[in-house]
Amino acid sequence: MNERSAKLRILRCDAWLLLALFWMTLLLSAALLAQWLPLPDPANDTDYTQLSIPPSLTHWLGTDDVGRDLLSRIIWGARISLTVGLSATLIGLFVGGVLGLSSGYFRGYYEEAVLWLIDVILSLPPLVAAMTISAVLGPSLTNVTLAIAFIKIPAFARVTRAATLGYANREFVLAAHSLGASHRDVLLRELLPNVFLAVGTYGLTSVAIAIATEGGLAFLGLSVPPPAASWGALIAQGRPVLAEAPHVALVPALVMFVTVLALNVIGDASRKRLDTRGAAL
Amino acid sequence: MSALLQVRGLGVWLRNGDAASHVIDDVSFDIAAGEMLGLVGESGAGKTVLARTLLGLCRPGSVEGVIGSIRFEGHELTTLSEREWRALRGVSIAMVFQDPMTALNPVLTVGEQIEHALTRRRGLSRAEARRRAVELLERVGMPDPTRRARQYPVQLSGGLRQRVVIALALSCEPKLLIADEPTTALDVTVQAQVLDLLDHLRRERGMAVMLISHNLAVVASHADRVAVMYGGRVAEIGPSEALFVTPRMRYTAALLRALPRLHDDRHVRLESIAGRPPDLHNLPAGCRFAARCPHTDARCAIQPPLSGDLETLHRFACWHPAPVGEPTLVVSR
Repeated sequence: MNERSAKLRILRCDAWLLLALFWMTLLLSAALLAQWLPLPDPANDTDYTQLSIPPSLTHWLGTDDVGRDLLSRIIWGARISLTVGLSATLIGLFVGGVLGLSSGYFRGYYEEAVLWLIDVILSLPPLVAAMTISAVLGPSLTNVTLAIAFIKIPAFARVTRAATLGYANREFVLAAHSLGASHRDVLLRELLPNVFLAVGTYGLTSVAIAIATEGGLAFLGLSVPPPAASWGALIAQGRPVLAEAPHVALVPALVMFVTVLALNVIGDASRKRLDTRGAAL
Repeated sequence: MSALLQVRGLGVWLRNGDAASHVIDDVSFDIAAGEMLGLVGESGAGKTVLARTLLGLCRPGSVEGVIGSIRFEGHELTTLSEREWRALRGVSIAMVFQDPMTALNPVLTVGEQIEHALTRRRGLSRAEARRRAVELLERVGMPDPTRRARQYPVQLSGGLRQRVVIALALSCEPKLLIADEPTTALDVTVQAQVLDLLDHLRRERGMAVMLISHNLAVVASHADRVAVMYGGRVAEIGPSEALFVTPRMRYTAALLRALPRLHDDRHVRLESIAGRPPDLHNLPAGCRFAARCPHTDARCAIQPPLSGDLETLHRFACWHPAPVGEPTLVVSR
């Protein structure tokens, strides 16, 4: 009861968080429902009489330089951007999490080896590494996701390992050992739920970064091939007509900006709510 | 008396940077089934390392070497593999930890934690485990156990959490319970409740208890026998009555004189023991208490052995034992 009213109070105070949640809900539902929404075909429905027109009643966000509806392009693009952002984060979280959790728990030479591997990945400039992977594998939804997931592994591994080190020395882990718990039990039941709180909030922020990274790759033409277009590709497409019709590049850029910001706001808020370090446990 | 646990000549070295510290040195004692042995000593005397060694729980990599023998029901423990240790922990020997605030997993309800131990170690079904967990909570005196089982550790007070920790330790019906300062983190009134609970449980179940504490009063009122540790060695061991009324080893005697008494006049300066405990990285060759002891002579440069043999009830390691007949402490039981 008390908890609930406290939660409500936090929500009420934090208008930014509410706005961010509203934006993400809107975006997610639009992206999920895209094929049922009364939108013109984002790739083929070209209106040659209305090239690069600014926002109007028939085209709410205007059209691009070949007369396609920008609103439709952005919503369909959201599917790609969000899919890549979420799945790259999940893959990075999984692989990095397994490495971080196990190395923080087992220590020794295994930990050294994992740290060495992480340092090797970190020594590559992330965007260049993602570009190389994407270019070598060929631009496709799966490959760009894998490329971004790969450059996310070190951060997740480090965050997970740091959290694991903190919890592995806590008495409840020793208590589990004193009851004869196996390594698997300790890792999955004692450490994972605790560590996940710390890593999960970082994951939200990471989705934002992944979306921006995908934007960068798409801008360079290394993401999903046309006619499908993520937000980065839309911005790239608007670049040649930036002087005459700035909205073609600016509208998708703005959408991406707001989305990244919203995810960061949500990530920060959840970190504040779930941060148990200061709490008496 | 056939002992449940037999420790003989136990020595433990812990790694300390490049050096090794001799944290436990030639420790021997027995615990009989159903007996409560008190283990007292100041911080750094080796109590916790001893307890963890008995469960094979010293962090791997931190132990430089272990010598001597630990036998539990006749089986040697020092040579067990990690897998064999796991089979033994909880079922044969379990442990209650010092700080109930950190000894429970914060993200699982207390019921879940006990149920997990029951399904995993005792092979109970989920439903049985749930019923049994509530039963265990009830047995350790948890009020309203059904509701409490669904709560998280943060929702319980320190005393209630320590009861959960004890219930968890009891879940696999261990024959020996090692309680490492189980009351240090608790209020005084709750301390008494927890100790009475431990005492009650061991009588009810015939479970042996090793009660570790730096609080002499706690040990005096509950333990059958008491071992005093100093600098990694057993300085004196004997029935609690004998040890508290006629301590022989000079350290024990000094320790008891340092206790404040209710019938003392007010503003009396408490006696203290001059000096500080020995540095475990640089131990003296002879008696480890010699540097702080007013009764030393040349012989103290050689470590005094424990008096008597293993059959002797009251043993102490001192060349110049305190005379019998100066009652030091009146034990009320």
